Amino acid sequence: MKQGKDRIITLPNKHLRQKSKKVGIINDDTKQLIDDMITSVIDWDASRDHEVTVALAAIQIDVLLNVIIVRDDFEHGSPAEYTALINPVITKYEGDIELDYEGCLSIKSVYGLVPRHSKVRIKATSVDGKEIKMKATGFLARVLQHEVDHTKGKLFVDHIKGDENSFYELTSDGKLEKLDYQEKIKDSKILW
Amino acid sequence: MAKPNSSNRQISLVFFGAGPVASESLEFLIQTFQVEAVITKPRSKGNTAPVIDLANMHNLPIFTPLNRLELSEIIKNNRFSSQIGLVIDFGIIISSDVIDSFSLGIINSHFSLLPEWRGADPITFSLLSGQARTGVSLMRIVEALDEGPLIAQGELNILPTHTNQSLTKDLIDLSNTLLAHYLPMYVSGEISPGPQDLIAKSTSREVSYSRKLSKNDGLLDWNKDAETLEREIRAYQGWPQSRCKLGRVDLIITEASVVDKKLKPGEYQVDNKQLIIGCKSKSLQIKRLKPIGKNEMDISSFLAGYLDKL
Repeated sequence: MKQGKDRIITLPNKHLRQKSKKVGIINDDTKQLIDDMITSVIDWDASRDHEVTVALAAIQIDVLLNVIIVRDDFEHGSPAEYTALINPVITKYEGDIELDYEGCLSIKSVYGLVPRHSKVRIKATSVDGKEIKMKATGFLARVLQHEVDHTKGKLFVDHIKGDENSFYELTSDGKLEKLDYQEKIKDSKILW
Repeated sequence: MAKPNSSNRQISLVFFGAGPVASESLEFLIQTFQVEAVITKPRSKGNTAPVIDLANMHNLPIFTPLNRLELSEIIKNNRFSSQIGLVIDFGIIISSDVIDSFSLGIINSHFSLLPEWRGADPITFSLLSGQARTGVSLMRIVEALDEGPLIAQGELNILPTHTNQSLTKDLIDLSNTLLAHYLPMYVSGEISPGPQDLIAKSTSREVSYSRKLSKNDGLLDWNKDAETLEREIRAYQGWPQSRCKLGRVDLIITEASVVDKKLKPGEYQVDNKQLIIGCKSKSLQIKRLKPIGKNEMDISSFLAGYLDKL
């Protein structure tokens, strides 16, 4: 089996469009899965100069289970520590719709300016089996919406399909530059 | 999910702003940059102070000058470490000693495509003008009003349905996007401001000035064209609102559309559950309105309750 960042699957892999299954019992396999997800992310980050992984869903290492990990501190250079959420569900979308940049480990070199709710409430189970309910705002709310989308087979590009001004790429010097929608995005065989 | 390593967080700024547009912008800036201090107007009796409330919530240092002299004093007495100031919806004139105290100056996000609609109320005046496009300009301020060199501009279409509030909201979003993108480029020296007359030449935009509205601007003058009045109704929503008197009823009109019917200016006609008022050319069909002191209602509810007073 592939290890580290090489386990991460990317579009056009069709598995990314599938709905993840609920985790019934949290056992050693679940914990192993979470460890593997963290290992993959740390390895991926090490290969990137200008990006940091803020979260990952299990399907991104090709395991169709409803598990996500979220980085505790989103800033580059902070300790790479993650919290796992099992069977996360967004119970309420609140606040305004805000735009911000998002990238995805499963979508190579495309960034998007994606509209998301500024507040969400989320329900999940922790790795030790406790029920977690929390409110999230700002960037964390965005991250959770992105990951819960993964568990439903949805990707950030689906939210901005058709928006000519919403697609960007991260250049080799770490700047976001707008992509030509007609030329690079509209008829992409990889994205759609 | 991945995100770019945010170097934006390392940009520290001092924020100047007081109104509702300022507070919505500040909310975004706090998430995006380091806000060292917030300079705003003092809380006045009976008014909300959204900027003060927001800054308190985030434990930011707050300063509340009453005027430009007090503002200069504050800047002299507090050595801010930020290289840059950002002013949005402030309402106090900033003198050059304050501007010069920041090594990269003070940036203003102005809600028009400068040099169009310099001055206090660009949003209302761009709606009134009937122009198809407006936008946001990021400008390095100089002491002369809204004449500073431009860092970036973003455009958006004015829709026939845009009211003052909805256009303001869209412009705030555009302003936030521009700031997140261009402020770091300006700070790093990647882009430098260009004079407005160069931009004006290349876009054939002309200098124009907006002004503060007064309550009397809201009086509907039926000797104007129906198109003009329809735009006034959308532009004056919120304040000063478009007012008129029909029969014995004082009204605020909140939505209307232009119809071809020929009536004398000020003459009105009720038929088929419609209220149509004559203007200089064409007429206005009133869709929604607010009898003074009452809630907003649609035309059929209004005619059901007020027909005998017209």
